[in-house]
Amino acid sequence: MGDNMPEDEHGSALLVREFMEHAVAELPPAHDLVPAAVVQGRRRRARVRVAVAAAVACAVGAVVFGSVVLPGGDGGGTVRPAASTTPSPRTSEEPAPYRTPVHVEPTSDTEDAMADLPPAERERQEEFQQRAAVLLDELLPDEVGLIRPVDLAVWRYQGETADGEVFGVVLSVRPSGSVPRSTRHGDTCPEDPGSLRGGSCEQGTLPDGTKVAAYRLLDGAPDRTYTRVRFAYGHSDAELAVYPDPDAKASAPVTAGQLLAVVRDRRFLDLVRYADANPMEKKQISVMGG
Amino acid sequence: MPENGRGPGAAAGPRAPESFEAFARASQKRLYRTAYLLCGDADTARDLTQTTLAKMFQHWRRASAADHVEAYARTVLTRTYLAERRRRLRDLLAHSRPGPGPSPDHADLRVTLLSALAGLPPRARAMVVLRYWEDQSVESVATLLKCSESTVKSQCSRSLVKLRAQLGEAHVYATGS
Repeated sequence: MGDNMPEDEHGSALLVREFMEHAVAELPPAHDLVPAAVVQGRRRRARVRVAVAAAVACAVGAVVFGSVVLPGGDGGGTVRPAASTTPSPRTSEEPAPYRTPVHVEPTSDTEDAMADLPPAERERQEEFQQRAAVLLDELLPDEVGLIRPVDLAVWRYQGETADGEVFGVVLSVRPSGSVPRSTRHGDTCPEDPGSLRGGSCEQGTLPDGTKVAAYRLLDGAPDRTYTRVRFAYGHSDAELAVYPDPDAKASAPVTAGQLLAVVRDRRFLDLVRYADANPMEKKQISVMGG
Repeated sequence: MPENGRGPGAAAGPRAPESFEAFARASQKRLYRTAYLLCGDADTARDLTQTTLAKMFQHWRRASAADHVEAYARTVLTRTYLAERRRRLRDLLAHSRPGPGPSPDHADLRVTLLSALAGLPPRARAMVVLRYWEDQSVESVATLLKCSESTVKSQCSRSLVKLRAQLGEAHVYATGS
């Protein structure tokens, strides 16, 4: 700071520096800006690509226009098919925003982590998680917060709200193995609502007519609920669930009806279809509990 | 010189390329503080820092190949700040009349500093922050702001006189009470 600086100027510089120290010391800490910066950075890249593509299209258009209209061109009386104005999907498509995965260490030696997968399979599962996280973010209620993948398992996600609540989210498509379809789940709500012990159930159907039942059930603690829907799909059992935040003592902010709406969405079913055709979880070896 | 714990000068040495996220996580606090001194309020500083990191992500291949990634980020931050100030000034002139600035006789040191900095033109403010907060040499600041070294020296000298006039009184008041 004091390179060849007069003494009185050096004193002023020290004074300014001292004030700056005070000012930043009182600065409230900023939350982690990196995930949002990554999303913003991807959008910026995409905009540049679109701009370049548009410029190329304009240049090509100008050349075509010139060859038709300008003297010397071969446009005299020649009718040419109009150039397609439909934008290329590649150039007009915004890239999906990137959701920085939440890192969770395995809690036991028997717990598999995605990090242990072969690189190609890990990449495939991470890509699936990104697609799923973005779609769930769109389909689930805003109260669940920003959905991010959890890097421990392909079926694990979590929603984080601005208030700091964290809700566990499960999207699982698991090969059903040898378990007979008829014994896999209760696809219909129980006749006796009392069996739900204070919980509730809502019945629905998928577009193909498959019956599904969504449950809102107590999570052990009074007045704290989780919401879950399970259904058989192809050779798999699919499950979507939102769990409470035990630290915040907050129930999953999703109703059974809202979860039904999610699983009926065509885009959600596309994800399930992909996971059914290209399994990422181990086969079941026993009947899942309902 | 009190130790501020961020060591901008020390952190500006050559470094090996690393992942964007590792760099961003290590740098965001320092960038945020510098942004705060440039813009004067926490929310705008957060936006400025995020935009800077987004630009770094966008050009990470080029940025990570730079000899001094931190210096690259500092340049992006400062130029983004100046561009934003130019844009806001245009908007202000087009749509509204500027209101009164913060009270200059506020006893709080932070407000006094921000008020004094707000009285400087954006480029002069950037020079002051780069020189006296980021410990950048006259040559570095001149390169970053694309001006001559003599311009940096004269602007900084004039700015210090202005700042001293406001901060000096506040400093006496604050330490004497």
